[in-house]
Amino acid sequence: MKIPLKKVELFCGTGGVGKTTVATARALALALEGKKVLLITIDPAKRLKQILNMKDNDDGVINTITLDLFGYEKEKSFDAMLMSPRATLHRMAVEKNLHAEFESDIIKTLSRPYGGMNEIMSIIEVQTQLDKNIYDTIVLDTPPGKHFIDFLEGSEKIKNFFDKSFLEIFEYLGKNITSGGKARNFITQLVSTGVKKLLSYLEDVTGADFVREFIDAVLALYKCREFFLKALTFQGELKKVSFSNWFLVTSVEQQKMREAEDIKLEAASFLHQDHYLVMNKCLGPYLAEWNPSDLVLTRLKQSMIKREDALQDFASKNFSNVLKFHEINHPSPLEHVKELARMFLVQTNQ
Amino acid sequence: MSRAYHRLYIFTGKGGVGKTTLAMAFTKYLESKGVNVKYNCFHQTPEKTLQKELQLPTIELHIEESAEVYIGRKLNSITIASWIMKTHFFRSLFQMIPGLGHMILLGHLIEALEKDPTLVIVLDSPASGHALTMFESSSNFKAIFKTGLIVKDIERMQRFLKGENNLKTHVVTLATELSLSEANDLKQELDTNLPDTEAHSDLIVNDSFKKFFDLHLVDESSLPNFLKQKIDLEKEIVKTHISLPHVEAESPTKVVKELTRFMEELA
Repeated sequence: MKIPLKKVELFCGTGGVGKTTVATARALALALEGKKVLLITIDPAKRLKQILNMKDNDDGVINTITLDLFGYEKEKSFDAMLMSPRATLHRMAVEKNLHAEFESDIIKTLSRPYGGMNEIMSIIEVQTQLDKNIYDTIVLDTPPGKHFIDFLEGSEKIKNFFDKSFLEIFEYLGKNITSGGKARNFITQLVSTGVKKLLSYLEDVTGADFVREFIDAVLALYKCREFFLKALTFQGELKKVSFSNWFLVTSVEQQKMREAEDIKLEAASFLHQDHYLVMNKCLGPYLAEWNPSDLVLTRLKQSMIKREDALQDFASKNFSNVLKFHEINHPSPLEHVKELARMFLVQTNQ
Repeated sequence: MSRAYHRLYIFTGKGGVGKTTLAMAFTKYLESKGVNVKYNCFHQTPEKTLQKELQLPTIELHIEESAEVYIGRKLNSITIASWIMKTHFFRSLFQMIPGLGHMILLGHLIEALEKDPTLVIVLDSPASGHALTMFESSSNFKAIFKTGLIVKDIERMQRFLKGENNLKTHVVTLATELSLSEANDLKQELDTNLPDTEAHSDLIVNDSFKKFFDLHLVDESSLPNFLKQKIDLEKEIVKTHISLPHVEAESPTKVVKELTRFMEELA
């Protein structure tokens, strides 16, 4: 199976199927073929850090990983980056000279790893890296499960975020964000009265400080809207066959076939023909060579074969491109990456 | 009831480690002990068929309805609340801050527990975000809201969670190094997000082959290499953590039923 070279490769799947390990292996395989690769992980779990021995202060920074780490030539390498919403936000603050505004408790809270801005910031970061145009391929390790849909819909959030009702609120509060004072028409006034009511209710529930700080925070983000809006183009690009490859990762161990199907369904508006199902941790080759003598083990073998057959059956019914990777029993994650990369190279050069 | 149980049990962990199976088995276990227990699937698609086959006692909440009820109560008007929830402003607020919704859900569950002192809730909560946003949110929101009705409610919730014998959190993991190190990270984050609590989270190792072979008195030397390697990697893990055996059963319902008999340690 030949996999065409694309600007972006996305790895999706539920947590714990080995998504980050498989994505890292893909980056290694591409690097071994001489491609210039950037691996970005958006998973807030710090798996990549453990695999590649990265340091805590490496978040949001591009690290060059030379391949001697895996026992290959030191001259070859790939770049890797752990997504950090805070680092991306900081870069925006520097460019827009908004340091003071970004010190707000609200922005700081939202940009924590589980704070809610992770997906949007990730899209902005990926778009920035794409704009640099120095990589053949950016390999993206997306957040697990449903969070991956959040990631894709990040740009929808951007649209809602800059929805007209926000502008109304700023105008009502006398914040000048649009150049030139347009005369308010009847409808705007109506909306504003609604906004006024809304804000007073909100103050009751959340306290007046929150409303004030929230508005300031939103305003600061609004001043960075060009970053957000540019990131919107990313969502459109993802749908293009010429731009992306999709890898849905599933694992025999976890019986999570249905989730792979769910993700495929939910991502239907983004997915195109170039998508691949990765069946990770297959036991097939091991089971074939096993001839158990007693009853318990015979039953165990049969149930393991049954489980794997069910996944195989599901895979061939729902996916035209399937990559099968056998289970690796080794304590070192580096060995896993190395062996998976080897399997990638073998299966994609057939 | 022969012994005192905790009021709220949270089962969390990465996708595919068996949280839902264990949370359901645990609910069935408590039910068999005569406890007034309810299972809640939090903000996930419920496993309707499985719940029905198991005749699982459940408590169901919907995030947006929950928020509407909450705001309605605060403002003494459900009409205004439903109007507020429909505005772009609020919808965006909810989308931007997922933790807000999760917290309102948790608030609702805690309220139910406070109303009925015999009730025990088993919460099946995915780790990727939810369980963490839920706990992180409560301290985050205190930091950002500062005053207002929400902060009072957050403090009430935190008081409940920190109350003696109220909360028990189980972080479920598979018996592999990779899964275990992720579960350990999660456990650490949960513990830092709920400091001053007696009830620190436990790691529960699920689907252990080592345990399965012990249970069935299988001679390890008769195993093929790939399984020997597997249980070699499991040995250290199983020694130091509460571990559940791999279960052989032809349907998810039967797996849950089978696991019910290993649940005592988790109470």
